[in-house]
Amino acid sequence: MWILERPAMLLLLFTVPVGIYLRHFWRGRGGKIRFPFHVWRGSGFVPESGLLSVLHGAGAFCFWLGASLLIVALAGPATVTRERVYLNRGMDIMIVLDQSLSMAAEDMTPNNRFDAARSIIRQFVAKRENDAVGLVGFGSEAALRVPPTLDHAAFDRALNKLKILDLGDGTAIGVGLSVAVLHLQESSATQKVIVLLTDGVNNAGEILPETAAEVASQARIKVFAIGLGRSDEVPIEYTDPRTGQTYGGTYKGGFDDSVLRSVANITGGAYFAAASEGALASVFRSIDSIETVERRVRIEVHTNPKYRTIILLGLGLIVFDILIRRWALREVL
Amino acid sequence: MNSPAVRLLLLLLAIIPIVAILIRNYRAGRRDLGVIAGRGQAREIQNVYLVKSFFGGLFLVLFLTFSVLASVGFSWGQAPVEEDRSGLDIVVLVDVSRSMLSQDVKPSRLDRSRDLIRGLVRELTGARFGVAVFKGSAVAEIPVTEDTVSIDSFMDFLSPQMITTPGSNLEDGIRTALGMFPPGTGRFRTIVVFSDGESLSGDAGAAADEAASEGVKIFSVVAGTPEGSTIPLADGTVVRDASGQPVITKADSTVMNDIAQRSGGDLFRLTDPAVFASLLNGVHRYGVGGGEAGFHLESIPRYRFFLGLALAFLLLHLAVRVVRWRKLF
Repeated sequence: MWILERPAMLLLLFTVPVGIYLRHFWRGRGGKIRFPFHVWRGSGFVPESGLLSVLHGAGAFCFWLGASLLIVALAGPATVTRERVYLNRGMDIMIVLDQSLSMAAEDMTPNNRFDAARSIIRQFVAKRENDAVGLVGFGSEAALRVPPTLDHAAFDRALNKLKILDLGDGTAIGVGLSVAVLHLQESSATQKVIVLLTDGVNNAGEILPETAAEVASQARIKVFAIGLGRSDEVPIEYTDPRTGQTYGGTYKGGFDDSVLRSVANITGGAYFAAASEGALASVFRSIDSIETVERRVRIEVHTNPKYRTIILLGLGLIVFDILIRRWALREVL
Repeated sequence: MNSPAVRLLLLLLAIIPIVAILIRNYRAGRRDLGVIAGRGQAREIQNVYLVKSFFGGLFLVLFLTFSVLASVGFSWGQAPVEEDRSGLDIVVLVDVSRSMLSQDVKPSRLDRSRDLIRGLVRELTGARFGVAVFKGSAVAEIPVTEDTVSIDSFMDFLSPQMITTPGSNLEDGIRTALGMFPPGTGRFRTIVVFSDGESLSGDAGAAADEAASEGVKIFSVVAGTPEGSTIPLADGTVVRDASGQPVITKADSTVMNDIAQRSGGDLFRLTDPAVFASLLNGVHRYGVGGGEAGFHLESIPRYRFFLGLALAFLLLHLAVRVVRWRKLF
């Protein structure tokens, strides 16, 4: 949005019509010699309208437009942007997402579990404007994809890059939780939360989920554990990232709700089961409403002065007039 | 628009041809007026014309001069402004071009930079760090985060192999780093650049101006010596040019100093034994608002002074022409 820092300066624009009158229309103006210039009983001299008149008119127009712009520049033109600044620290949230093969099961219409989870996570994160969000992926191993950050665009990029089977075909829930705890425990946030999404049982890694939960509890980190999908037979289709080949078939299996419940209880979090995309969305809505931090906001106004552009434009127009009158029309004064 | 655009002063050169046109027109005008006015009034009109031409031209030149000075954006004096920021976000921008492997700073420019970054992360508790690297292009590697573990782990991976694009595009680096600061945090923001400053491409100055306009200071750390050294390779040989001569890479602080100055930051040299303490102190002081509790000082722009004078001279230039003197001209 454009503003003027000193709009009162615009009053100087009233001098422009006075200047136009004095310079172009006042009969008593200087810079000219009066003498009779017509034949006996003839009409007076009237200059022919043509290119010179057009140039003269264009020059005068540019001059007064340029002068007006300089007056506008004196009034301090600037653009302002408003930024919402949070006065208090939000919470740190670490999303721990299963990347094992079973996440390709297509029981979350129209997506598979993995894509449904990513879609709901994206919506969840978009609403946590003042909360730092990080991402850990796990399969047979676990890896930090993005540390807790307010740069949610970086989080989205990392989430979009995740692929099923990237970290092996196992389900190392304990290791995934441990990596998340490692990167959260030094955080100064008053509230630290891990959201664990898995559809399998812990069958890889050397750390038990309950052990990781104990460490999380000591670091005052709550874990919200979400079990994904149905336990009956469901169609599955996936692409092996190593070979690029696509496979299809059916899958039957489920998550270990007792482990997930236990992890949640140890840390003071909560356990949820989400058999469908809609159910998963309501689970995240619940977490969203449970885990809130008071938000105090200040609107910060940033001013970006634009006088330089306006001055250069005005100056350019006036120089254009000078060149027309003095160089092209050869005016002597 | 905090820093003056001194390059605009070159516009003053345009006044020379304008003055030449005025002089040419004066000579032609004097001759023509002598003919038109006739013998009776020629001398008087020519005298008035001389005075009017002189003052009209003088006021026009003064108008042009002060308009250009106004557009430059000079400022002097400082005013206290209430400081509403707290906390510090730092994006570390590291040059990973091959010349950073040079060992004129032990163990190497890159290794020494890595040590300094780790030291900053360790000492500046409460600050949040992000990491970007640049070569021919720039990449945001770690978003701004409080997670020092991930920053520390990432430092092990710093190497010229991270980016394949050849060159050292500092402008892209600064712009990438600028894009990494999360909005709405109300924190002090700074970019700490580690580079040997050699063969930098892109308009880093323009990027530094953008940083300044967004309130981001740049602290430059020049890695290497002006004398320079060869660039070692993994097999124990050194990088050679097309003629087989060893390539000597020399640290160049020109651009690094320029970006620091334009953004209101500072320059440090990796060869300085006290570089870590100086850098830490500089960044820390900035992060607590320059040591002035609750306030910071801002330069007062003075373009209105010059622009006001310019408009006054434009008015005088018009008056010289419009006001008829001695009822003659």
